[in-house]
Amino acid sequence: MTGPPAPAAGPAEPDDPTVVAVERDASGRHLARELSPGAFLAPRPLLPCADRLRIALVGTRAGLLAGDDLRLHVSVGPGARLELVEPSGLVAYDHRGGRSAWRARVDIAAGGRLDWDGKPFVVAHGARVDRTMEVTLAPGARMLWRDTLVLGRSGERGGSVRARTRAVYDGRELLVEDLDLTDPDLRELPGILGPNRIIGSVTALGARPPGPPHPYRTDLAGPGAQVRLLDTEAPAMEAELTALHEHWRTENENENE
Amino acid sequence: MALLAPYLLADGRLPVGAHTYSAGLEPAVAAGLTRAEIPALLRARLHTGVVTEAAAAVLALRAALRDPVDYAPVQEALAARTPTAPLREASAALGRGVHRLARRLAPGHPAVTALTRLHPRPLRPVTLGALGAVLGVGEEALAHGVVYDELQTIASAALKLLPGDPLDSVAWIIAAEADAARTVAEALAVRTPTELPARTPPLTEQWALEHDRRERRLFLA
Amino acid sequence: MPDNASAQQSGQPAQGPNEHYHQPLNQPRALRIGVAGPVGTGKSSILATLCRELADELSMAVVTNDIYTDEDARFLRSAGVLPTERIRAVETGACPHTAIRDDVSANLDAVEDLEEAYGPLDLVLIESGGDNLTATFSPALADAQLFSIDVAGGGDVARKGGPGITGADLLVINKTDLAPHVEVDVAAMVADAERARDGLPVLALSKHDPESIARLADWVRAVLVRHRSGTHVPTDPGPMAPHSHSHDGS
Repeated sequence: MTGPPAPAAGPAEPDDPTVVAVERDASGRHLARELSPGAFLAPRPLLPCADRLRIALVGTRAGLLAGDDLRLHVSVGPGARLELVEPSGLVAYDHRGGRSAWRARVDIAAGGRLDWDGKPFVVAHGARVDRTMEVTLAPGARMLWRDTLVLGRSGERGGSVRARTRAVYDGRELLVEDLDLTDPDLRELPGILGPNRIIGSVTALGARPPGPPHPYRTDLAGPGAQVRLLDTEAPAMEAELTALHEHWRTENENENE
Repeated sequence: MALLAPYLLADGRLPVGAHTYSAGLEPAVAAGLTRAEIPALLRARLHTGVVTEAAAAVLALRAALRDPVDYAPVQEALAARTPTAPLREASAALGRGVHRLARRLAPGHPAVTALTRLHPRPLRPVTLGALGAVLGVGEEALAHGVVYDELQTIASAALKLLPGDPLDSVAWIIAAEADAARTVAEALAVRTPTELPARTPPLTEQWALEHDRRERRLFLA
Repeated sequence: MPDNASAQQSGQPAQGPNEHYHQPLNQPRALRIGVAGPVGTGKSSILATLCRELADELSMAVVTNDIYTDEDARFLRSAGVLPTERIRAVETGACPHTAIRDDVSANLDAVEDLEEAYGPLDLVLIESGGDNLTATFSPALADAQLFSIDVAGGGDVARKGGPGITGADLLVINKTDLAPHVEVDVAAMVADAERARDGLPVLALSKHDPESIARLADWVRAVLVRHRSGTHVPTDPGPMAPHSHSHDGS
């Protein structure tokens, strides 16, 4: 799938999506077909790597406020590799009764790979945000996604968030999740989050990473696996997920050689 | 038949292997859940996994009444919404008991023969839809059956895991009525497998993974 | 419903193929022998003995039922008498009686899985997780069953009876080597049992008596011959003694 046409030069409009579209040409060279800044995030190429493009999603506006609609379109062409990094996390602030949205659409063509190293998504007290991640993978496409949701800044119970993920592989649903954390009373029930405020995950889509079993690893029904950790505090979990993400990423690379 | 069938479906004594299942209670207790928290756990289940299960059973029942019968869309949608492997395995194991019963009652019924074509094995809600079709159970009764069964499974397992007055467990179920009604209504409103709810309960999933690694278990999950 | 009615129905050989999800309809399934009896009477040891005696000539597998999932399975695996993957444990929801009688689903699943993975099998042994004298196998699960008591339980156990003692296909009086130590007259115990069993076989067994072990293995071989020729009819030792389960609705 192709992104929308490149916008004319000039400041991004509030509704503009951030677009990152990368391809790999016949000679095997990677190129960014489109890098368009949206209202919130600007894609900035990092030092080139021989076998992939590395792009940073740099925040251009203070986090999410009521009425904000952050949109992000990422597409990876056949056989291309893209690494998305986020220099900083995102905070959804007190929406004072309003709501906001964060919507990402990812399309990965056959043999394409995306490694998205997401930084914490913090849902501050009073925020009310809908986050959706729609991933479409062609056969042989892969995605590795590191993702952390944080309810509340330090000492807060946290705002309301509903984080939905839908990944389709080869036309079939591979992973559908609806983390409905809108109602604090419900989400704090035993079995949902209990006292936990941080939900960190590393999700592999399109392939099951090999390697030693992690106690919280689950293999999906289709090609994919996930490790999700919950905690009341961030630091220990962050280190563990970083190590796991790195492990799965390297294994992916080794397999590629 | 359809007068008694809904009661059969909801009866824990139905010989389909359900006595080996605690609907997540044993893993929850191992993680520290107390008896006082059981009503809260029931509420959590009704707002998360049970919505998906009841809706999937209803979708499967509708599929079972069409010609030809094809459960693949609902089975796949349900599997994609059950990312935790031990929970899928438990569902498939329980579905196997229901499938065995449906085969005994109506081996040639298209709703039953279509189950055999599914690989991997049909998950429990899919087999319940098939059994519902065989027994002539309506959508609403089926959804109520799934919801009630979940509550009763947890309440009954509590008698072994967090012993106390068995009469308490009846009160827990009655107290969950309002949430249960909401769950049934939500399940009935689902039209297509793509719309199947996927309300994720992260702790329940974690506990299921911990339980899977444990050696001294009473229950499957 | 009276137990016998359901038992006869589910014991019909014609139901066999239907029970098997992946098994070809024309393939005879393994003989399933249940091993029941009170805790501590040597059920696991009987299973280990049978595996040792028969595994060279028969393709075998074992299913264990326990209060806690896999204790007996672990004992058998560590005994090294059968490849460990041929020994499966089932969860019984704290109701080992239910799992072998009122609702045999989990055990049937385990047997089917073993047949699918290692079949064709000749013999599957199913150990009950019995905690008293009353648990017996449904014929829907076991084609034949042996019930184990031991001399240490006292000389009058056999006379007191119970469905397993009176009706199992074979009654094993185990640990006869201990008889002098517990002041039990084995011959009298066997005679009592024979009277209670109305002609059904009784076997006095000791792991130190090779001849008794040979007789146990021969009994299994004989049942297998009858099973294969289609002349063996599973029988139900009878309903359990009254037994209260506050958790029957689980």
